[in-house]
Amino acid sequence: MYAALWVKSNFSFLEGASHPDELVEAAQTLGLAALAITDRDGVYGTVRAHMAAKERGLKVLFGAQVTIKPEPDHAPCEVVVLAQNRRGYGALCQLLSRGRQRCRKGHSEVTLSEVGEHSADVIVLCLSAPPIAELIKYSRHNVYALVTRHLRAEERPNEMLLRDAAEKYAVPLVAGAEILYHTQARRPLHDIQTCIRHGVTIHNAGERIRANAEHYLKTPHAMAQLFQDAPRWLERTLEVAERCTFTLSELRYRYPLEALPDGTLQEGRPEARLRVLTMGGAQERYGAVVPARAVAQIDKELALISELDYGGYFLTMWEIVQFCRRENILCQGRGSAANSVVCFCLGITAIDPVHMDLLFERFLSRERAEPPDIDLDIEHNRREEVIQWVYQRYGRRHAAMVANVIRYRARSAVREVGKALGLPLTALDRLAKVLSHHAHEDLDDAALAAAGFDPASPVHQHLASLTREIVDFPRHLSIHPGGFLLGHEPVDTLVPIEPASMADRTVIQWDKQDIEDLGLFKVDLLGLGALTQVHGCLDLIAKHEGRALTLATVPQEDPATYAMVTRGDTVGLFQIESRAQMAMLPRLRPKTFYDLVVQVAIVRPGPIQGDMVHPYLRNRHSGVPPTYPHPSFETVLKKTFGVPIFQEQVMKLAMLAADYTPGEADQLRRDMAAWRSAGRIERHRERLITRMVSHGVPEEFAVRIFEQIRGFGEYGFPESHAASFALIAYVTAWLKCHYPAAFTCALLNAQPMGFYSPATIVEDAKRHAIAMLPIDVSRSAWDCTLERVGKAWGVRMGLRYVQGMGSIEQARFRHAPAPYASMEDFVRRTRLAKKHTLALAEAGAFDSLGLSRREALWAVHGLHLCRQDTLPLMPRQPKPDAQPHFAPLAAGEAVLWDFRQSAHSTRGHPMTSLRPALQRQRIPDAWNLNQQKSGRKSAYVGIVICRQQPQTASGVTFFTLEDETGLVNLVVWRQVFERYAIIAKTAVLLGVEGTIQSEDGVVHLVARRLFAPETMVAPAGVSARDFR
Amino acid sequence: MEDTRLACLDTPALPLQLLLRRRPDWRHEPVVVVQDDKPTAVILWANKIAQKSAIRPGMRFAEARTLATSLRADVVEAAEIAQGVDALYRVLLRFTPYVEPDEARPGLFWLDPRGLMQLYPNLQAWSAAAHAAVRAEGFACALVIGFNRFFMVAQARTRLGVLVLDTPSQEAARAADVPLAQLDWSPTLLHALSTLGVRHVSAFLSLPGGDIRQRLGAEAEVLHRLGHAKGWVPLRPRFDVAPLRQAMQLEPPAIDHDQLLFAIKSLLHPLLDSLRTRCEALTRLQIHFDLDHAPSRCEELLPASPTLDARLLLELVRLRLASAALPAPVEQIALSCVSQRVTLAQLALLEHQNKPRRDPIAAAQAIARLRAAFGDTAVTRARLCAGHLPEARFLWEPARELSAPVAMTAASPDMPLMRQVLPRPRPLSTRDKDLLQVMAGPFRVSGAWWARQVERDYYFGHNSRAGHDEIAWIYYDRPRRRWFLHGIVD
Repeated sequence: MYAALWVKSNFSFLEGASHPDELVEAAQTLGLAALAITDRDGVYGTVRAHMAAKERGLKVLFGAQVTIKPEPDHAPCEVVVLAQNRRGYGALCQLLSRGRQRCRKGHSEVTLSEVGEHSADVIVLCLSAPPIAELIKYSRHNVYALVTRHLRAEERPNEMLLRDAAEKYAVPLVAGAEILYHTQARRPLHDIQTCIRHGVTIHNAGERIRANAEHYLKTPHAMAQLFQDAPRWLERTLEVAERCTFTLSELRYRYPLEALPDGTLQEGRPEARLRVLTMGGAQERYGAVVPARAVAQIDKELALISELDYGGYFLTMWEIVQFCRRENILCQGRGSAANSVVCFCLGITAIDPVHMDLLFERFLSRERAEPPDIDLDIEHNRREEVIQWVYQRYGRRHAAMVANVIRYRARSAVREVGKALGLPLTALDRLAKVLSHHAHEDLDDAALAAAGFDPASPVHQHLASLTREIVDFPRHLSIHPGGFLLGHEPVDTLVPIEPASMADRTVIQWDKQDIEDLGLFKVDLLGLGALTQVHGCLDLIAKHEGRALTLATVPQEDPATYAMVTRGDTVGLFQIESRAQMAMLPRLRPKTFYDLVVQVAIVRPGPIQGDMVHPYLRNRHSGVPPTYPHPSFETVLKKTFGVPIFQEQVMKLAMLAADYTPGEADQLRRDMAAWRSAGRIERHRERLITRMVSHGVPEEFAVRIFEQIRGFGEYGFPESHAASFALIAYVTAWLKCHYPAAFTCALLNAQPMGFYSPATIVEDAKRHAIAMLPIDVSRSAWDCTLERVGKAWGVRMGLRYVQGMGSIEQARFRHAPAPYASMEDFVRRTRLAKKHTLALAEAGAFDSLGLSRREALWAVHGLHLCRQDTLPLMPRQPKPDAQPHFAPLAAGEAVLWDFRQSAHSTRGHPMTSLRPALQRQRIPDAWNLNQQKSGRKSAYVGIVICRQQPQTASGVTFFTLEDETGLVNLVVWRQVFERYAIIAKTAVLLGVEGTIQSEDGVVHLVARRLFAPETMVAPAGVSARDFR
Repeated sequence: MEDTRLACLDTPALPLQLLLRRRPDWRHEPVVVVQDDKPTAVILWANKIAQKSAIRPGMRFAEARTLATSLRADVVEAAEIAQGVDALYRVLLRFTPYVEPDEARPGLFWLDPRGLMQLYPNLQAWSAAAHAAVRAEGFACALVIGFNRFFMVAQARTRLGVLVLDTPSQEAARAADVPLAQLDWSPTLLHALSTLGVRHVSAFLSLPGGDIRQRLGAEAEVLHRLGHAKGWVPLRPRFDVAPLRQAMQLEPPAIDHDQLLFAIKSLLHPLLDSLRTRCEALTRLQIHFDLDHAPSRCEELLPASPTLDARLLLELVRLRLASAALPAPVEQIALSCVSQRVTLAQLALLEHQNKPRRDPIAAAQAIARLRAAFGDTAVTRARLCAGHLPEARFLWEPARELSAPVAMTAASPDMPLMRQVLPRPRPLSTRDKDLLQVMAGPFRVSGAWWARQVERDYYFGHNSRAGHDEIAWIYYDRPRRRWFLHGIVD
């Protein structure tokens, strides 16, 4: 019996070749007393190991292999540090944080004295002799000399020195090995990882790879054989294991105490303050008299929050929201937090769960041993302000962002493994493209052969097997989009903090899953472009129309807004602008806010796979009360005409008809969310269907419910989440309906964010009779602005839309604003790089200076050398005789130039110049095509603005084509797509022959043939959106 | 009046043509030449099949791969292009001794047709013959005869075949309508001209030339000047330098070393004189012996450094003759050499070296003598390599000079045991192995799983048989289940 004290998992990135759970499983199978997880300079893999060990009942020691900063004239060395207790674990985390913070990303170094200072509650295993003398000055009894044997002649001298030093300083010796994989079969993978780490091929790796495969977990017998000359050293591993009693279960987490209004920290429990704030918020939300139902719900929630000691978490979220309000940053809670009336009263969410009868247990329940999850959406261009405020408010040691572990996927695996095997990179790229993004099962002989590889070749077999092995291995650490870990105690006593690649950000060594597994709280601060857009639009309305509006004061239930939405006129609207949503809107015909909530949720894989869409539409428009599969379902399904649409409804059905407890129903929800873990959802199938049938529910309905649950696993909305999104969707719709110019302007200024390109937004605005004004150096600001055109507002495109312009150019325009006396004046004052001035000239931005585009280009070519001149300008000279005469731009050419330099054109649509030729061929425009009757054969030519291949569409590809009169929905079946694959994938200007399909005012053209229109030039600069 | 016309031969997309010659099995596939062997590499040339899939030069390989799943790609290295140019050059030498490969545009050649014109009835026939010869080598090409290089390239880039232009005005007129997009000018210049609406040769040449450099850059200025050039731009043909060779018949055939040495001496002096006039020094001397009723033989001698010293070379010749053991009398001796260019100052140094009594040069010369006497691999030294297998940890390489050994300091624990390694591990019989008393081990070395699995357990064993008192370095080869002796500890 022994304990393995120096074990590195694959969270020692590109070094360890086994998952933590594989190591734990192997250790238990081999009968080891304990296993230490000691990843290089980190505790990245500890939570996985802890969870696996908890399941298997194995003792795990927690530690790390710590890199020591080399002293002058000393070789670099390393020690293994194991936490004895909670204090020791905290000290280890702080030590690692210190090492990480002084080094570039991916590296860490601490000094021996720092190790010594943190060694009171840890065990330090010295791998070489030099550190011993220094370390025993601090905690003599915690220092051991670790003798490792891997059957290498070269390690004997080190062992001799280590033994001498141990004898000299009276330090006990302990036996071990450097474990890098749980089984010898992983040795090739370890070699390949080493090659990847060093950027070499296996053929020239030399001594970078290990000399043999002796770095696996050995049986106690094998270890006894290896150390038969020193059995005491092996026994001493058990002594070390006994001294290390710490487990991650001991981590107790306290949320930071909140500051009282006088600035002091609140002592004791924060419930009292939470109640005061909640009740105050309730009066703001409901008026002076808070409805009894709301009060009852508030009491119920506060009681549970107090019981579970979650008060601090809510106060923190409230604080962040207050900061956003103070700084005029739009924010709104999303997700299940909208089920909580406390969140509503605190201003975290905008949905009244009492009014909407939302399920609080979806957010928080006693049976669920996990903290609530509040996601806060923040204007995307101001999110960093909030993040930096959180750092400042709680301190760098008390706040850090959650990590995101980047793992190998099939494509990245095949590329890196193949490169390490010395295969040609272009051939590997071909193989990578054959593979899907995520799956790795398909790297089989067929895939190899399809990419031109010989499946019988040994090197290609190595490629396949090693790729399969490395898939899902951690590759490196990234940063979570917005997850924060906050703590009353310094976070660096829970987990090491290290600098992120992004400036001014720090990140912990655990990811979201680790945080959830340990039951820790996190705060999610997510960026949302739609909020930036709404904020910009409200500001424009206030400035130009004098009407001050907020998210809360936008008029509700506006019929004109719903009428517009019902037409599918939703380009630029949050969540309901996709082609599928546009197609659904005329069929669903929303008339109330709740209809929008349903609309947001229904075009999702869950309801689609559960075949719930058509029954919902049928029941909704039939006017006949729905019949319920079971009488008890009425309360649950009444709102959605007898058809389950939301996650909460599925949970309630499980409770009503399949006798699930609230906790079990919540487990069902979590199993839905864990769709990548195959089999978790399947275990509910038998139970759900059998029990529903036994309660009198028709089997067909029960099966559909289960299929929908499966679909939710792919992507499904809880009602509260849909409601939060529907609220923003409604606001954007109202703004578009009543202030279309301001809406377009704000939407363009918030790009990139949405579904459509700026060109499509501009074309949509033109179709709504908004005057779109071109970029002009004399009139344009950096952002798009509103400009009076007659009595209405037009939109002047901003300089930001010229290709290649960035923050440097923005600053130059700020320092040299219009007006400009001449081109020379412009060049000298702005000092823009030649390429930027050329781009402006090509985009026609010098029209107001009296120069055609080509004249402006010629002038820029001649003037760029004088941009650094500071002497005063000479009076304007007449054009010299040598001035060449340039041909004016041909019809349509100006539009193409606009597209090339600004990806849009306010002067016209690229299709306009092609229209006469198309009319001669009797090819209709979009408007005319959309008027045609169902079943009619028609041809069409338009610009591809979107291609989509939804997973739920059985290989059908949906295109959206555009011309100067509108959009056309194109459906391309798999066979047609494959037959015309090159055109289908690449054409910007696409010709189609097909059949009209019209239903409920939604028109599709079903393609029979695709063609590249001849004699017509595809507009340069017009780009199609790729597959989504 | 003398005909000053030149010929321009253009092999379009030469690297792509070379790639398809190297990989004929790709002729019916979409093929591209890429800048580097990586997915993000830029495509430099694409064949017609690839272009049908909308693949264009300038695209990234990864992007192109989405358009043609069977896309083949490879890099064509500069050396391969140079070889291709060289091959074409040799073909063209059959038609004129005056061939100028265009250094900036590989695949483009300038020829003076007057050289061997007398063999053909007229220029058209000469052109057709030259064109056909290049085609016969498997290269697609165009050949244009004209007056102005600028116009000739413009013509050649728009066709495959032969064009003979009779007057400068005819040439200019035909070139005027050539689209600039078909010329391999830099994309930056072509874009700048395109935005100005300048799309044809005539429009480009009509631009004012005064400040064209300032507006459009140096490339535009050069092209503009070439287009307006009235005079004849002389050809700068490449000439291959004939190798130096000296030969002598021996009558009657001789085998006596002194006789042969004197014969070689009489050839060596004129050879060295020729080198001296070329400002070159000898780096290799090759002696070709035509033997009487025996296969001819060639001996090569490498002096320690480039030299023009006849005495030194004759000494090396003498040593080589002593060991060469010619099987038959020599009928003819021929000397040839490989040389390198040296400056006059270097030449002076080579001829008047102030040789110290003990210096590295003398040592190198001694090694040269050993090589001369016993062959080029007679003097070798070990170079350490990174590897785990003992035989992969060093490499024997020929030694050209001596380097001073670094003295070992005090023995340290890191210092490995000194071992005499056998050239090849010697199998041990079980009996031999049993005579060894194992002192230390096993030390395991395994790996090379990607080629041939190696797994050895090394031991040190004491050989106490009568007459032996040594420590043997042995291993057990696990896959082969056999014992081997790999060395002896010093």
